[in-house]
Amino acid sequence: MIEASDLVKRYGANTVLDRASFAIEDGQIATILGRSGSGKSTLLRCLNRLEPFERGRLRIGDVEMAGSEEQALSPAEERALTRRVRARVGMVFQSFQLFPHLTVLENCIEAPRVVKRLARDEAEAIARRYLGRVELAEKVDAYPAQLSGGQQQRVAIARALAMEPEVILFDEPTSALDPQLIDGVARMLRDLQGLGKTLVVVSHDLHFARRISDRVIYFEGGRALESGTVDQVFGAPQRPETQAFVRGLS
Amino acid sequence: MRARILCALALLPLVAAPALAQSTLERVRRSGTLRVGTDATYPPLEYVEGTQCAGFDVDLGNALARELGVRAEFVNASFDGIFPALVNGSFDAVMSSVTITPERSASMLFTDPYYESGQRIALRRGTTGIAAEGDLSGKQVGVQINTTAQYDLEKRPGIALTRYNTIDLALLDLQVGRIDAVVGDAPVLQYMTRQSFPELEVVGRRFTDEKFGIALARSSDDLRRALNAALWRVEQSGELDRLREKWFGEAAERSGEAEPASTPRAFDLGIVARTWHFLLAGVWLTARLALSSLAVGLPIGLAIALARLRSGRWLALPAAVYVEFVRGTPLLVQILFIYFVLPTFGVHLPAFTSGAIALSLNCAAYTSEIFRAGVLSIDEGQIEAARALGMSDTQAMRRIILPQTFRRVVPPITNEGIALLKDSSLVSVIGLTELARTGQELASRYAAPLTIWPLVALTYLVMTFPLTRAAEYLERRWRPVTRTGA
Repeated sequence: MIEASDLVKRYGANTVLDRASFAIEDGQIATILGRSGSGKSTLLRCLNRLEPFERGRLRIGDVEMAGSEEQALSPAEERALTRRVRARVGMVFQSFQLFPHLTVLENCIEAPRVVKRLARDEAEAIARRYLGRVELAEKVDAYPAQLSGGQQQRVAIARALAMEPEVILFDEPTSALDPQLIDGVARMLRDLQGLGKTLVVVSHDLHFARRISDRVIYFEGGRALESGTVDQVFGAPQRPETQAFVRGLS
Repeated sequence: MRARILCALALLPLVAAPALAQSTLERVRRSGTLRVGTDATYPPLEYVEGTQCAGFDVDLGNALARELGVRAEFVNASFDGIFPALVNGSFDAVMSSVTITPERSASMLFTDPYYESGQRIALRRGTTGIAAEGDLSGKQVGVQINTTAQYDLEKRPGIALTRYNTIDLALLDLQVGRIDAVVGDAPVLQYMTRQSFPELEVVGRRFTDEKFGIALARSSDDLRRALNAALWRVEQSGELDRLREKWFGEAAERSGEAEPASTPRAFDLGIVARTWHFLLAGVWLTARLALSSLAVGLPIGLAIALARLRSGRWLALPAAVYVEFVRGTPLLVQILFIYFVLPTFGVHLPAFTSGAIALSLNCAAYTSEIFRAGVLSIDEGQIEAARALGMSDTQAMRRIILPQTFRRVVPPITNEGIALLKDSSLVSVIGLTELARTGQELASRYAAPLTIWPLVALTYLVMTFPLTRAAEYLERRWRPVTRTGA
C-alpha cells in the first residue's frame, strides 16, 4: 500500500507538489498521468526519496515519511530512512541510466554486491534469473552501448529487480522507444505485476495508460485531481481538467 | 665574468643564515669533505667530463682540499641556485668563475683572488674595423646574460646588445652572422672558438680587470683564512702555475688544435656517438622525478577534486585556495622556496625530495581540475541511478562515478604527465642534473648546441612514448564506454 497525504514540495518560491493525496494498493499498476510540468515526475522522485518534500505524509508499506518542515531528521536518521525506502522501492529511469562501464551482468550485480553485500555467485544467480525473465540471457556480457533502446530498458528493469524491491517506479517508460516496442513494454509490466510487484508509472501517453493501468491518477498543478480505475477516469471523468486531458484520446 | 643577478639572489634576504653550533671549518674537518658548488657549463674553468666535473677550478679546488687534509666534493648546480645554497649551508664554498665584486662582497666572503680574467672580443675571421672595445659603438654585440660583460657594455653608449643564456649560443649567432661581435671572459672565448668555432677569432686585449675568488658564507671566516693559507702554499709550490699552464697555456692550445675543430653542424653524428650515453643518467633522473611526482600528485589531485565537489565548505575552500595558489605561482619559485627557504624553518630536504615535492604539488593542482571536470561531465542521472539502487553517495562515487571519470580523463591526464616530464627540467636550479641540464652541460662542453639540443629534444620525445602508449592501451581497453549511447 502506498499512501500519500497532502504532499507539498517546493523549489524556492515555486510549489511543485501542492497538497497531493492518493493511494495505490499492493500489486496494482498505477499510472500517474498529466502534462509536463504537472509535478508527476517530481512525485515519483519523492517516492524513493531522491527528492525530499516539505509537508505531508507518505507511507510505503511499513515505512512512514513526513515532510521535512514537520519532522526534522538528523543526518543519521535521514540515511537510515532513505536506506529503508530504497530497499523497498526500485526505479527505472526515463533514459535508463545504465552504467556504461559495466557489462549487462555487472550492471545487475553491482548494487546487490555493494549494498546487500551478496557473494558474487549469489548476486550473479539472481541477476541471471531476472535477465532471463526479460529475455536478455544471451546479452549478459554485452556493454550497454552495444544494445538497442528496448534492450537497454530491459536491462534497467532487471537491474531494479535484482534488488528485489516491492515497488518499482517507471519514469515515462515509452518516451524513449519506437512505437512498435510499446506492446513489449506493456507485456513486461504485466509480467512484473505477476511477480507481485506494485508498479507506479509516470506517463503522458494516454493510450499506454489505458492499456496497462489498474488505477489512474490524474495530476495537474502539483495536485492529484482525480483518481480511479481506467473506466472511471477515461470513461466518466468528473473534473473539467481531466475531461479536457482525456479528450485528447478520442 | 659571470655575475648573474638572479631571481635566486632575490631570495637571499629571506634566507637567514642558520645559526650553526660549530664553525664551517670544524664541520669540514670533521666530515673530511669540502662541499664545493659549481655551475659546470663554463669550460675550461668548469665543465662536465663524462660524469665528473673537470676544469681549472676543479683541479684547484682539489689541490686546496688536499692542503686542508680533506676531500673536495663538487656539486654541480645551475648558477641561479648556487648562492642561495651557499648561504643556507648546502655548500661550504662556491668555485664557479665568480668575479669578486663590491655587491657580492656585501653578502658573501671571498678568498684572495686566484685567477685574473677580463673581457675580450670574438669576431668572424676577416672582420675589419673592430680591434678594441672602443670600436664596438654602433655594432650588434652578443653577451651572456647577467655577466660582467653585459654590465660593462651597458655603460658604453651606442652598442646594441643581444643577451644569450649561454656563451656558446652567442658564438653560434656570431658565426651565423646575425651579430657583429661577442664579448666574454677571455679564457672561455679562447677555449670555445678553438674547440668548435674555427671561423671565429678572439681579438684585442683584455679590457677589464676581473679577479676570481672562492665565495663563502659570511659565517665562514675561519674557512676563508684556512683557504687563503692553502692558496698561498699552492702558489708557492708552483702548482697554481702548473694548473694555469695546463688549462690556459700553450699546451692547452696545442691540445685544442690536435683535435681539429670543424664548423658546427646540425646533428653531428660523431658528437652524438660520443655523447649520447652521458644523457642516460639525465634520462633516469628525469624519469624518476616525473614518475614519482605523478604517483604522488595524481592521488592528491583526486582528493582535492573530491574535496571541492563533495565536502562542506571547511574542506572545499582550502582546496580551492590551494589550487589557485599553486597554479598562480611559478613552478621555479616553488622549487626555490621548498629547497632554500624551508630550511630556515628547520625543514631540510634533499634536492630530489624538494624537486619531487614541488612537481607533485603542481601535478596535484592541475590534475585536480581535470578530475573535477571529469566528475562533472558524468550525467547526474548516473549517481541518481546508483542512489535509487540503494548505494550511499560514497559507494556511488567509488563504484559508478569514478570508474567512468578515469576513463574520460585519460587524454588530459596524459597531457599533464607529458607536461610534467618536461617541466621537471626546472629542478636543475637546485642542482639536479636531469636531462635538460645534462644537455646544457654537454652543449657547452662540446660547444655543439646544434647537435646536443636536438638530441635532447629527441630524447624527451622518446621518453613520452611509453606514456602515450600506456594511454592508448587504456583507451582501447575501455572502448565500450566511449560508444555510450545510454
